[in-house]
Amino acid sequence: MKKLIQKIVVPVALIIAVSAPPVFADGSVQHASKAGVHASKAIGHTLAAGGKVVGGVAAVPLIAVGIIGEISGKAGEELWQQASGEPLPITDETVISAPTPAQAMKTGREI
Amino acid sequence: MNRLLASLAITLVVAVSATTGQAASRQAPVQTVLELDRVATFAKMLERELAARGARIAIVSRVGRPQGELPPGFRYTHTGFAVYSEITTSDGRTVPGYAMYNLYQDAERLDASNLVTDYPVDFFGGVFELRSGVIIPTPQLQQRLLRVLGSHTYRDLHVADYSSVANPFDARFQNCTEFILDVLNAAVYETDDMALLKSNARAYFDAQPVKVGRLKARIASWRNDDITLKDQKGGKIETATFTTIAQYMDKYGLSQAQFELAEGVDGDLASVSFSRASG
Repeated sequence: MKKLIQKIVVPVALIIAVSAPPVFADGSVQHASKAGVHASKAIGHTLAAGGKVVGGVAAVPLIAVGIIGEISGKAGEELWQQASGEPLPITDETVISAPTPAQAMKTGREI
Repeated sequence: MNRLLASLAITLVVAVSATTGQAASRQAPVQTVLELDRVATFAKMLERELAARGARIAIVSRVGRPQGELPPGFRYTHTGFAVYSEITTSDGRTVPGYAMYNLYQDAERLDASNLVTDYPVDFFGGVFELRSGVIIPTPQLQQRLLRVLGSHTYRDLHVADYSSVANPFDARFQNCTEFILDVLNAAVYETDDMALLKSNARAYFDAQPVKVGRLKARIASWRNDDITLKDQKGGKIETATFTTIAQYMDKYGLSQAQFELAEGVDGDLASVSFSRASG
């Protein structure tokens, strides 16, 4: 009996362990840390589809015609309702995260 | 019997050790300059689509792994907010565009996460497939969401303890989609009370069941730092996904548009609208 269990249970357990999914639905890892090393080389270049690659260092949310928080109360609500749905201007440039010092140190020539 | 159990334990340890290398395959493929051009084209097309629709804020997802590797019901692997912003460039200019607000899993410590603001090209960098689910909230909800993002509530809602299958009804662990749901409901209910947010989520949000055997799930939690079942109850595993958030927003009239964008065969943008139970 013991031999039978050993012959069946152990391989089954092994199969379950091996076939267990390594992850469920990951993909939230920041790609920029890896991509940034390569993308940082592209800053200043023009892409084939047009538009220059520029580094972004800060971003502030914009609403309608003002910076968030400047418009409040009923006037702000009305302005928002009027403006919502209208097309927004957007840069043709491609903005990427400026590389961190650690990423920058991974690029370039070694002495 | 003890010898049998010991044998079984050793077998499992060996099996676990032998397969931990698979976890490393989660790493996104290294992006080359050639791929950057393709990713940048797609990201810019997405930005233009959002801008054309006048979206100040949208919920955007990406596909980081082949569909065949995802459990049933999962279509995307990461979700963040795209926020229409004034961007300061490294050469000192300001330009209009979208910034991405993300909860990212820490690359060095997989059981932890960070809040990171980056840009659409960074967001899509290293994806498996250039395809994205998009939800544009109603104008009123956009306004409320922007208020949350501009306040301390946004950071207060972040739970640094990460689990890729975090239970959206439990505040102990969080993944990117649970964070999106928490921020979304903080805007809807205009509160930063996490207990109230979880209570309301339990009442109105339908989570995605993770269809995997309990034993497999338990072994996966032993093998992977970013999987824990401590916040799961009653034998079933459930989590928030882009799709279940889209369904929730559709059901309660919180979105004005839901669609999927994908890179077409000729490099153009293909758009598919969906409202219920798709994506």
